[in-house]
Amino acid sequence: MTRLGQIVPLLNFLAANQGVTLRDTARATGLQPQEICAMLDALTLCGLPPYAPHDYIGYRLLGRGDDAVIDLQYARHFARPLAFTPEETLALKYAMEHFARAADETSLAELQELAGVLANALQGRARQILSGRSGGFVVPRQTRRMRALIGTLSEAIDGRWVVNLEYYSAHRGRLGTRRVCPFQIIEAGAYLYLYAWCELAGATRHFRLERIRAAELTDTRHARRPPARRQAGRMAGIFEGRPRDQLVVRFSPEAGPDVCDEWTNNPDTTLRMLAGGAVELTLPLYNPQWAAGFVLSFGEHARIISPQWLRAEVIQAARAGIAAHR
Amino acid sequence: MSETLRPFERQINLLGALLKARQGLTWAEISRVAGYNDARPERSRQKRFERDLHELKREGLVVSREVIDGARSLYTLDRTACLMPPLNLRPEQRHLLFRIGMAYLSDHGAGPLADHLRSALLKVQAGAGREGLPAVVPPALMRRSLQRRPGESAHFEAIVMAMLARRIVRFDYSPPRDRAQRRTVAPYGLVTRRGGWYLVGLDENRRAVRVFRLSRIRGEVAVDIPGYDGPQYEIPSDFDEERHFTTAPFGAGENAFADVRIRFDADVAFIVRNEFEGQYPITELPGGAVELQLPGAYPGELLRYLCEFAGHWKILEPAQLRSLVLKRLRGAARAARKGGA
Repeated sequence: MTRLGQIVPLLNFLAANQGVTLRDTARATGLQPQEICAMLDALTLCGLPPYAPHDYIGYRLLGRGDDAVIDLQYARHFARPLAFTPEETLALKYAMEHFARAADETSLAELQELAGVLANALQGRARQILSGRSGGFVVPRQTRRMRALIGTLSEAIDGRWVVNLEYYSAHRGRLGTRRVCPFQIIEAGAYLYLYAWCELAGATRHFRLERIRAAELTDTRHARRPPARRQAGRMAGIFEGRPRDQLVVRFSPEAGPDVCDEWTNNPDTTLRMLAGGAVELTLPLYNPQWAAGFVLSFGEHARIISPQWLRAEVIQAARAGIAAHR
Repeated sequence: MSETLRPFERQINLLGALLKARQGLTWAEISRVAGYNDARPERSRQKRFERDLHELKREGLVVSREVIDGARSLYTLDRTACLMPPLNLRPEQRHLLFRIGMAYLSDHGAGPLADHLRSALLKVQAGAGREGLPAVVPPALMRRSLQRRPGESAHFEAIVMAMLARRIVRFDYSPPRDRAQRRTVAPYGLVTRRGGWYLVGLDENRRAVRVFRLSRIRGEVAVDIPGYDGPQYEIPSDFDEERHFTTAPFGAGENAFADVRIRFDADVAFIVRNEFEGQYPITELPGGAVELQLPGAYPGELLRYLCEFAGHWKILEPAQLRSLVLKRLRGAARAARKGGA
């Protein structure tokens, strides 16, 4: 995106919202306050003839810190926003369509209505783009049960309600109850997780949404805040704490390409190409149950190099799977 | 001073002048705007203006040029086409848009869409006044993400940028058990299933819609005609990605097993209901167990799912799939007994 494309919408917003604070502008834009000031500072040479002092776009911060009011000067002609560019219309459409696939029933109905209102208001190419059937990014639609669960959990997050969860733990291989303070629903890879403080663990945890059997809001509100920093990245973002071990698995040439597809460039993960097309994958092992299932799914095409203790878990899981077929 | 102005400063000045002048601007008036009022020859300044006008048009602005008095050009901004019409959104609709935006813009979930999404939301908010913002903005309830496998991200980014600009792309593609081939594709959409992205687009050489797994693209994804920046294709208005590539969780292609029936015990039955109820037939069985019927499944993709809770399920049909799964389980046990090193 061009510099012009970044700055003009900010000018539109500020010109139309005189008296807005730096904090609210940051909320509206998703930019940091210092980024906003830097963009406004870049406008100091912009203005219109005859270039008297009041012909230059300027701004003042009235007050201190993020609560300061932005007083944008001599830019009234920018107050009406420019029409969406095709790229902006597409970005909005794609975000709405993607969001709808996991939206709760209420949000879904609101979204459909919103899309209709937008399509009616816009003109020309923007309207044509919004009305097109193509979704851009198509993900599987969540079931009604999952969307209802997302609705319940969203209500809990919004209201800061403590929630009792009935949850199938992959670690323990059984259902249990957890009392949690939910912070956010997070999409990571192919899954949705509830990010929450778990009283049982005494730490934050990520709960796979489809493994929540029931979520019941209590009548207690919580004041917990999520940790200031969540680690980014696929593994680190989901599994907290220190890895229990290091998992090294060697895959046959048949399984190698799929493993490379899935694990290339993953953080904390290495792939080593071996002779004949075999592949060795090394990654931190947080969850033995997950690791055993992962290895098991490749059958004879995966061999555990380390840790040795995981071999027993795989054998046990394979036996359980075979026994279930008798 | 004018010569030292950066291009975007000149363009802001030009845009400001066009916005303010409702009757249009002649070159004589434009030549007084900072950026075009320096001591360089007039032809050189006019070329600079033409370049900037081109940039404004790329941002979606429609500027008409009309010859007046037989010689002078009058440049006028088409305000109907260029300015946002009143959207007439209710406050709660603006809040919903805001929440959607925040769901993607936090933690880089929007990936290559981020800049365009942010500016679109800003334009929506610009027309809303301060009441367009919630009084207290909570952190995003949901953090959504378009990101999937890190190994695909460079290809994903290049394809999304091309798809937004409606540009044709070229890349080398390695189908399974075949050599890499150069493909030229108009990207229509991206579909994901169990963690990976697939490009659905018009294959220019085959003149038909084809599906490409991003992880099988080798090297770079390049735009077809570098330097040309206009849209090169349109997506048919009735195009539906899912008609060409299924989002069914375990696939439904020609090599997939058809009419798969799996029994799940009572411990995990609710997981199956959470994921598949209403999408595939689920039959209640005695003792809280359920039977799931899938129209199709690739064994590898199905096993990756099932092995997360081995011992809680049984493949009922088809018999061939059951044999294959049992063979896999026995093979895994044998491989684990042997170990590595």
